Amino acid sequence: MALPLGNTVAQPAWRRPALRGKLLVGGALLGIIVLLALFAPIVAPFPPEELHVADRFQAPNAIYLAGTDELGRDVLSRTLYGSRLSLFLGLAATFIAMLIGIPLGLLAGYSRGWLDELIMRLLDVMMSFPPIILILLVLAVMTPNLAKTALVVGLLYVPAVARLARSVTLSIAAEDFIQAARARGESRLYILFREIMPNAWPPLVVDASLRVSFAILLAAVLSFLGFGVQPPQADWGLMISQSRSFLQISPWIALTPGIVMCLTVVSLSLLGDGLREHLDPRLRHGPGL
Amino acid sequence: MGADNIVEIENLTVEFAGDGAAVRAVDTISLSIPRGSAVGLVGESGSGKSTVVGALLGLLAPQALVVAGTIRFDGINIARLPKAQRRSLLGSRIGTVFQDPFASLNPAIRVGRQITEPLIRHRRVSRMEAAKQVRALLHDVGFADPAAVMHAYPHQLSGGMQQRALIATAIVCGPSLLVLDEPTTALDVTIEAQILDLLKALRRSHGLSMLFVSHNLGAVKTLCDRVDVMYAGQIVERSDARTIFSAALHPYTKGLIASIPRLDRAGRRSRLAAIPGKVGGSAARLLGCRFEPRCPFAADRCRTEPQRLIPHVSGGEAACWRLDELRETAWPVATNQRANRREAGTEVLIDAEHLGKIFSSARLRLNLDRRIGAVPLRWHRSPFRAVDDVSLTIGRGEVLGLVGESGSGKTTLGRLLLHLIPATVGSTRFDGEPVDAFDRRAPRAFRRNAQIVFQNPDSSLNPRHRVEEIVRRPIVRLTDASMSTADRRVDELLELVQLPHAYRRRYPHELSGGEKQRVGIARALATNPRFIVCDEPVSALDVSVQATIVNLLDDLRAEFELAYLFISHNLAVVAHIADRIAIMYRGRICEMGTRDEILDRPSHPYTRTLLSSLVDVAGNPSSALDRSLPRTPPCGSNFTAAAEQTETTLTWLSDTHWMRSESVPDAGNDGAIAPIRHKS
Repeated sequence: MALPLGNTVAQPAWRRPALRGKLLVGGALLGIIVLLALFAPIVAPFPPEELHVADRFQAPNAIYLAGTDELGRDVLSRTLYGSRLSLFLGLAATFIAMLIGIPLGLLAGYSRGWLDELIMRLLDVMMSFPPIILILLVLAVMTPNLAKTALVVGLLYVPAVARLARSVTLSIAAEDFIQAARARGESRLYILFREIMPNAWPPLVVDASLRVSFAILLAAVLSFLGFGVQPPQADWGLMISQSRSFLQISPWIALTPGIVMCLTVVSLSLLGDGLREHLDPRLRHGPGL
Repeated sequence: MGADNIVEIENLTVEFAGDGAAVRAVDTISLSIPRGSAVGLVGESGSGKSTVVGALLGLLAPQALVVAGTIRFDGINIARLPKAQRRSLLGSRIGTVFQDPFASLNPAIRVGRQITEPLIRHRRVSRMEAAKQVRALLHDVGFADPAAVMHAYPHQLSGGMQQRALIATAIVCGPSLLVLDEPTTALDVTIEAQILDLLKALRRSHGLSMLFVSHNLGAVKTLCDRVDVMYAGQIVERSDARTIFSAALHPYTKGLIASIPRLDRAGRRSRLAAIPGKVGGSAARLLGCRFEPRCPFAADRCRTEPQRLIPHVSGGEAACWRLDELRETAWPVATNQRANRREAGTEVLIDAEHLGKIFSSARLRLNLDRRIGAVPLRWHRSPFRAVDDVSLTIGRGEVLGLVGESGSGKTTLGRLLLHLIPATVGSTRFDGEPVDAFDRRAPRAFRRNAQIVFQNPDSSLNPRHRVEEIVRRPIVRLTDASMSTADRRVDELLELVQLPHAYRRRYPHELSGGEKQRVGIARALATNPRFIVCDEPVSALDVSVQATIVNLLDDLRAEFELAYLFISHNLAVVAHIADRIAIMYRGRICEMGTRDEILDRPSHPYTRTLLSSLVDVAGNPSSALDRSLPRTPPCGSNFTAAAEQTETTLTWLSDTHWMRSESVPDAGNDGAIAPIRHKS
């Protein structure tokens, strides 16, 4: 192939940035955790709810790699199964937040005027409630289950996502190619999703990667308070919650899910940071990842 | 070399780290600035001139590396100095002025503090003393009321005032060298002329040496003693600024000069000369002359032999071995193709009557009506007349040039004609049919027939869409063509704007500025429109590229009987393409006539100011007309009692030429704007 044209002599160096370390480490770590969670039935040494009454409070050993809890259940297996719940919660909540928040933000940022005011002020009202109180309010009147928790956490993040989407949209809407689209009479929907959206996603993706970890932490808090996953199932938060009375005699019951949760959050942060560097606005002339 | 050089750059080479091989932005250049003289550094974008400045100031991007060479300032090799010492040179001994005055001033700090700061820091004078000195300096740079300016924030000053304030900041510590990086590029021509006058005066009064970096040869000529022309990282010519226009040595310089649009009668009728191709980054070019692929005089020897600066009898130097041979040869201009162009039809295509646009915003505002000093905070609505009572017609296949400075309402008028924004008052007819009834959702037929080309090629193309998607979309959207027909049409269009077929799959960032502009034109042409608003289509481009785009637009208009509203702040460019010219000032058209009428018999004071501000090809002000129009911000008029009562009358100077004169009517008039009579 011929040399790419359009190179002036002083072509800066960022044409095809190499995958940076953070992105690689974060992605790999997260990938391992997700794979372990997905294949929990194969990987886990025991069924998560299987009781080994004789082996209660076992410290980590060759059979129970992460020890057992007060009912003799294998902590490692429970953590692995718990990962599925926590990761699902984090991803589902983020997905819901983006599904609702991004269109709202796009619409507000592109339309301006009264629609913008209406959407943003309504979201402001939502944001003015302390999040935990809001969630507890909702979950207290319904029977908690996994899907509902995900939904509520997701809704809670809608304003933040919408605000970001709006601010990104504002700057893109000022570009001439939007005028060009209007000059050929494109519909608002086309302009929002075909002209603006492809340019708006880099900051949104970065935000999403960090939001997954917020959602996982929030879900853990809810489980800890008893408003999330219900026993005998347990996600990371509930495991920590249930083991807190035994923290002094067998800390591994809380530590194992705690460490995995930390690793997940750290890997997501690395991934988000890496993505941010990769998709930095100054580098944004690339056609994509 | 002697100590009489304030700056001596020797064999400077700067490379940018890239994916693979490093890219050499500046290749072994030597440049010196004699004490007290002004040197111009000229070249297209990508020529490396800004990199030279960056190296001199120690402000290169992190991925840039000075590979070789020395930079001496006042005899000291500054490349070797520790960072702190080097920084302290900036501001105290070297003053700098950059292109965008607003970006160079901190919006949150009062102007006065920004100017006194270097004085306090480098000269260690007291705040009181500094303020006193700065007041005197602000007076020197042309402010009538320095105290008020010192209290103002940058956004309260106009662009020209900001640039004056920046110049004051640059010279406040009494530097011996002033580095000017495109200081007038972002300014309107009338302001540009004033700033150049100021710099000339300051150079004498403050005994400054200057390095003036610009793509504008005319501006360089007015200010500098010597011009260094850069091409692809090398200096290709070094000549006396006074003779370079008449006796350019290097083919590239000849091409540059030939592509500047000319205002004189012969010049405006001829086709613009262009330099084909673009500054190439091909690594293979390292061996021979870098300009060879674009040079009409290229020979075999050019490809194989590196070119060095050769002294010439005229006192200049140029990097071309055919220097003497080509001495008298002018840059070739394509034969006058404009002769066979169709006469603009008499049939009216666009007919706008009394168009007006008022933008209004209600907000808490600083009231700046009187003077900059006292600023009462007030909540008020501020209706703003961007376009005020504009009536015009554009015939089939006719080009109406619309000239005015930034803020005069040109762009708004263009968008009104296209119904991209709703008009506050007035109506337009397209081909006899009223369009306004449809408001924003103008019907498909109108959209198909009326299109737009934008100023900024970086902003006008969606960076995430491929060229073919960009060009195909209007066809799919506005015509009933099938996908395969649309695809064939894309090929036709690319051919029409002279882009290779392979560009279909490219993304905009893979194209140069001129190529992006061609894609923008192809998109506008996609549906076979009859009217195109060209909104400053060439002002973001290099002068050599500008010529090719203007020629292309001219050819297309002849081929398809297109009508253009050609908006530009550059009267010379408009003169080349327009049949008629309208001059816009503060939201109104103040004079309209055929091209020759406007250029040869300018009547409105503003038109005259505009013409006298233009620096012609010889680098001299084009005429001795008065440059001192009272300077008020050129924005559209706000509703003030006076503006409401201004009565405007049109004076017809010929069948096609009129001028608007404004007068405040006698007391007793009820304030209604007198109806304007247009000749039918």
